[in-house]
Amino acid sequence: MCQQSVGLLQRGLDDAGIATVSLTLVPEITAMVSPSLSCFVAMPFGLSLGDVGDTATHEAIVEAALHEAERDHPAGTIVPLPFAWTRDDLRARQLRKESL
Amino acid sequence: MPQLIDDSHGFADLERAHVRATYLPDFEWTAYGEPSPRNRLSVPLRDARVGLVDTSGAHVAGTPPVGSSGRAALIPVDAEIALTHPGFDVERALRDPDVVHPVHALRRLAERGVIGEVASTTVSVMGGVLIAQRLLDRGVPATVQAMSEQQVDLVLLVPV
Repeated sequence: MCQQSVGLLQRGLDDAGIATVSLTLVPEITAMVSPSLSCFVAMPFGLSLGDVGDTATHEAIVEAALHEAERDHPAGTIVPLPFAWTRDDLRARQLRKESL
Repeated sequence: MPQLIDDSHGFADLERAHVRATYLPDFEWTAYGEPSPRNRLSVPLRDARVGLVDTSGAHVAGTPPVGSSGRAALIPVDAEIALTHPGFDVERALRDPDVVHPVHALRRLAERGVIGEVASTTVSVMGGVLIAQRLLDRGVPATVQAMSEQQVDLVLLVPV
């Protein structure tokens, strides 16, 4: 649900003339809301920027997303970023609705 | 870097069915036929004031959560936060709130000169708002106002 909520907030900012970029964990939901620019990272729900204490990944994801805002993407673009959860199957279980 | 694979195909259908069976029988995703407009950065990123908006249900510790009202919490970047959200493991995130509310990551980017500065007030909503109109009526205008008043050049939005 949070992917939809982020998209709705982003659309409001876009319509107000403010530059934006968002992250998404589920591109197919973001594509329905269709905000101006989003970046896909395959992280678990609740660990959107990576694992607890993994400051390097947090910073790298934020930096990569912000740099996409400088690029000339058409409205509605979802950019895949090279970050994915590899520690365990948490994301897979969440996507099957088997875990928070 | 790992090869990125979109492993989420089908989740929207699964989540819709879950919400309908558990909470809201007529739930449907909100969809738009056209994307919202892109607004180009008016300054280089290295000079930009960057605002943070997230859906983690963060609120200033000791204040009431926003719940499913669609309201937005305004949170100073230096504030101690609480997380109230039924849709993810908040105890895990509270050990390192940057996993959903990355103010420290943004500050490090400012220190490195990647961005100009971090806007002083962040915005958070509880993203599990099933009735989208609540967010459109309350959270969206409050978020736009908060970011406009801070004259941000760019907003980063983070879901959970």
